[in-house]
Amino acid sequence: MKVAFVVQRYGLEINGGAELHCRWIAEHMKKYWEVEVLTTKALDYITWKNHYSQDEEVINGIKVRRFPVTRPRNPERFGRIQNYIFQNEHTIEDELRWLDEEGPRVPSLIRYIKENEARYDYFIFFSYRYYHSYWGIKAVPHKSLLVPTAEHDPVVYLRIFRDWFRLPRAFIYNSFEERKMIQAVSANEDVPGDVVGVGVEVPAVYSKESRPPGLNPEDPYIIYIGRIDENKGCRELFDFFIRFKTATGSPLRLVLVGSTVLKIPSHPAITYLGFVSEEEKFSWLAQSLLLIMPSFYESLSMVTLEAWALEKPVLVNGRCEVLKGQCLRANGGLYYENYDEFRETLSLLAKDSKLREVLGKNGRAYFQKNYTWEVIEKKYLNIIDILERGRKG
Amino acid sequence: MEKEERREKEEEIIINYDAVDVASIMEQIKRQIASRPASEAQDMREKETPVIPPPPRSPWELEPPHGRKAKIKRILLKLTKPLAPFIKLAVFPGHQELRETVLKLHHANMRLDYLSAALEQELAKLSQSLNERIDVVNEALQSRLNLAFEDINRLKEYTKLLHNLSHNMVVEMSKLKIELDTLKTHHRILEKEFRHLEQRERYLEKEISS
Repeated sequence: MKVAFVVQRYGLEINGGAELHCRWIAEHMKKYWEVEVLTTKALDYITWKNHYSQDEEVINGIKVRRFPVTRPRNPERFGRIQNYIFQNEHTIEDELRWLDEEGPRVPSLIRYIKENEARYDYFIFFSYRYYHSYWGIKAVPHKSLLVPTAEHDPVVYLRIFRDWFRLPRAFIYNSFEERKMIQAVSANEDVPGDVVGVGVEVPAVYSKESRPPGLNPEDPYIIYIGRIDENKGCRELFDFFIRFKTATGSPLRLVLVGSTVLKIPSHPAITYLGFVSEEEKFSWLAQSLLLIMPSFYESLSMVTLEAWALEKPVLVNGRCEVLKGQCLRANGGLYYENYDEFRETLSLLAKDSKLREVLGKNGRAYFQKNYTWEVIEKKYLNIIDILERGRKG
Repeated sequence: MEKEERREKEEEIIINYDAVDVASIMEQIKRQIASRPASEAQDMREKETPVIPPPPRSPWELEPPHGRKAKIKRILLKLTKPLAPFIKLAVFPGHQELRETVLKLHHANMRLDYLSAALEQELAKLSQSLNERIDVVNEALQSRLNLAFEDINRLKEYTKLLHNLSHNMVVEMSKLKIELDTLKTHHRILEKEFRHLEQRERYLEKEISS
């Protein structure tokens, strides 16, 4: 069986989001299927400028076909159009113009899919909101599977997606909340699908004693791992954490790991460590009291799964339905929806080591039941099996 | 500091470590927060009220054309302004305008549907949070009333006891008064007897000496 994974960006340099999700799935599924990746030449997700020069290359044993982006995104113009369509009366044409502006515009990729449809049994598209998925699925609906990686933002309510969500042969959702949201928007309950997500790999070797630089051995700390961005709730996290420190005088410190697009407040209890290696990331996560995940929009938080894989509890933003749902299903962490709840939950977790231990263990059990690679691979195989039986039957 | 002290005095969160239930912990935390005085919560809410950004302008409006071409275009537009309705009529067939209007109305309807659904959702949320708060206040009030009623009942019993006690004391005092009167009478009789015995003694002494 030959399966093409279609994604907006692909490469070893991309270390997060749907792109990493796609690479991991492709690399794990290549032992069952003949796998190819169809993607763009872009690396930067803000402008989609062509970065890779080669049309074809092999990455970790997988053939990657790259197609050029014909027009990079103008972020300022795109921002204005996006604000306009989210807040004003507009037409389907406006939404299509928004999709065009959002990009990455790769008409040659869509052409390739149309012309070479017969060479592939299935196309698995990642990220519903981009050009490649929208036009790609329209080109080969009967062979397409969609991993929407949808977050609960206004994009999902655009009219262009309402009927379009009924086109793919099957859906591979990241969470129950995502499935519920897409079904509510498009009434696509009759399209087969399963909640799958992605597996997480913990490095075989990482130091269990190394601590983040700049922290004393006895300093208790909480850790945030990911892009430091307003959309990820980091500004609110800084505000809440500084207020928490002032109000309670707690010795807790906040350690930030990841690239930043936001000014980090200068506060003695906030330590920014930038982008670090996987080993360092896991070492520091293992040493922390808990992982904090302040994001408003997540379709699946991989770092939350990583924390649970290490038996660490999490404290998440309850306004993100997916994160809240995961905490409730796993009994692996608490959540907050305002400053009062942030203060109370963080104080409780900081002082109650037994609670942290039990939540961490619950998280680990949930992770092993749902997010080990054996489980994920089995679910993918099962979905394809259902489609194959339907085709033959 | 006072607020922090009060918080410390609040009830502990009950956690069953053998079967931790996040939903129940969160419910307890929410109840604890909701039961705090309204002024404190109001302070917090004021701090957390988001600033609503002004509605955006059309992206096409935001990009005013510039350059020589644009200048000529502007002048031409100005000159032909009085004839605009006729030009429009000539350029756009009537049915197209009608279609556009219907489409716009359709979109307006859809937007209204969306807004009313959003409003309903917000109202439902608001009413839920209000109900939760009312429940909490009711519970707190009920527990305080129960305590007050218990105190009143206890005081009633105490008053009854005091009443009985004073009644018994009055009876006892009356008895003592009667007893005292009796003893006084006895005393008087004894004094008389004593005086009589003295007289008798003096008489007998005289008799013996004579």
